[in-house]
Amino acid sequence: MNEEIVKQFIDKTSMVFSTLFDQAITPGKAYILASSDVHRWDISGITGVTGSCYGLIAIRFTNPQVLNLYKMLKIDSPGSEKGWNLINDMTGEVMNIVAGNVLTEIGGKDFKISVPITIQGLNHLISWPKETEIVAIPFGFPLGVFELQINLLVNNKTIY
Amino acid sequence: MDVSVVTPFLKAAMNMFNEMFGITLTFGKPFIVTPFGNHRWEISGVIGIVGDSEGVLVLRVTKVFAQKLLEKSGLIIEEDSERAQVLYEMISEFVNIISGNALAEMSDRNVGITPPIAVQGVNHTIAWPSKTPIIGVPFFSNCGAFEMQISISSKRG
Repeated sequence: MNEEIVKQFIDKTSMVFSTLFDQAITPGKAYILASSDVHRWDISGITGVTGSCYGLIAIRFTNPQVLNLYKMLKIDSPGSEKGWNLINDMTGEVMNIVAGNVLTEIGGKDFKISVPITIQGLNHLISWPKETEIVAIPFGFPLGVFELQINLLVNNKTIY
Repeated sequence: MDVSVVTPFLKAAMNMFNEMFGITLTFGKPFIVTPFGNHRWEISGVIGIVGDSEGVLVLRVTKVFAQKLLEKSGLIIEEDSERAQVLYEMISEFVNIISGNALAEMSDRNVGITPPIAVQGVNHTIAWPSKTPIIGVPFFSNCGAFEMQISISSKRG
């Protein structure tokens, strides 16, 4: 495991949660994600990248977690379609900020990052590219556990 | 609604299905996509477009349609979970091919694509921020129907 790159993901995710939500998060041990038909994630924010960094980065939550995070922003009352649209935006933007900050540190400037994509659906499955393994980093916080999942080559090298 | 931006993607999809499967596609009236509401799509291929133009292309199919395409390809996979995984990878590869071929027509722009993924799940929704409306195009064939969803906008002034 490339500990330096994992640390970048941990540090930038911690920074985002502290800044946006005033939440302290605790990283767990990074591990290689095995495919599984059952998981707990209801909403995923995903960013793709190409260039010196190539792959996909996702942040994955349960619905109760994002609802509570959204309430912390004090923007609107969730439960309406407008609220869920804003939750999509929030999830995508969290992913966008984390990914942009990390990739700038590890990949220089020679990469292009996609707009963040948010997927909602109970037990939705993601079929990842096969170029490299998926590194998963769990994070604990008062609202439970969420996870970063990283399928990434940096200068053609894996990060695990 | 200006749908001319999606024309290369329509052409790329029709060419791909014709060349790979001998399937002739027709397409219906484009519409503006809203991210919520019930729908029948069970597998979605998703890819990001980056560079001078940015956006997202999504290909949405039912499992039955994907299974028919797999059968047409001649590939027989007995084991259920293995076959499911091949279906996801196939849809992922389709969106990769369609976007790559469509963007090849945009020779005046520096554009690229990110790795594709496939998403599976009942009533899953896919959303992304877009400067332009997300356009949905229904496609029809003798193997069934599917849908393309796309937004792409220029980053240049």
